[in-house]
Amino acid sequence: LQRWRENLHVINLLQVRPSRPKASNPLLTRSDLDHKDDFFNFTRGRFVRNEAREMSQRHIRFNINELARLAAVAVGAKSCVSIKKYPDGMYNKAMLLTMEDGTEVVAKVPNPNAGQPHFTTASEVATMDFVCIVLAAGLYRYRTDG
Amino acid sequence: MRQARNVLGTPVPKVYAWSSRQHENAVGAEYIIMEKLPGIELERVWAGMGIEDRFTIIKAIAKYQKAWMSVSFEKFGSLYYSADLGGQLVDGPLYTDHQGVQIANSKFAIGPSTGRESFDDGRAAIEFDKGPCE
Repeated sequence: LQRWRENLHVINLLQVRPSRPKASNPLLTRSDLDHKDDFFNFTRGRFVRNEAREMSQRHIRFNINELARLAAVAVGAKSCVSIKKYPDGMYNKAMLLTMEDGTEVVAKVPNPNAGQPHFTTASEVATMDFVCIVLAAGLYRYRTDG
Repeated sequence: MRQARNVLGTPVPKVYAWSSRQHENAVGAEYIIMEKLPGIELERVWAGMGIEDRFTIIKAIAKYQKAWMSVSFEKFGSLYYSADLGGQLVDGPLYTDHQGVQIANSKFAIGPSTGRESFDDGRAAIEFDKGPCE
């Protein structure tokens, strides 16, 4: 539901204009990452109103090499060989990480405007888990009854 | 098992690693590392789809929404692991399932709402009760 609302928000925000055509999907090797501000900034468009504030609400600096290392460990890969940033949402950064064995994972980091620290991420993870383990069982029974 | 989960339920990515504590991890930010699900964005093909195909998609989405609506929680708020809410155990059922049976599950608990309406337009800076509400 949150993702759905997020999309509606983008449609409503007509002051967001397209930025440089297709330049914001860099495919980079690990050594480049810390120098690439695109990962930490909002790169999907510009704001007509209050641009400096809107951009700062969507700037998040983090250790991207550590994130890549954790992702590799999490899926049992030796190393992460590339990170591609998905087009910005209004509240999160999302990236596609590819491992040396071809395994792909998605990493997500919330912007400062995403909500209360800790709670939004904690609730998102618990909700995804709940939907998998509880609703899957419910839907199965529904189907067999029908 | 994985197959069964994705075929029978809502296709939700599996979470491999995560942290909601920006100051307690080496990344220096909150993060979720999760499975990449196959597929493409619907908007890339929607404009070229016929009415029959569009109807099939809408019915599939409605099926998921029906599954989500089939359970009813005891409180208003957002869902968390109990451990992330300070660990105090809540007695009583968490939710009522699609057959009207009350279900207890101490792994999960209802906590403050994370809904955008509680944070947008300056409301993030205002102290007010974000739930959970009975």
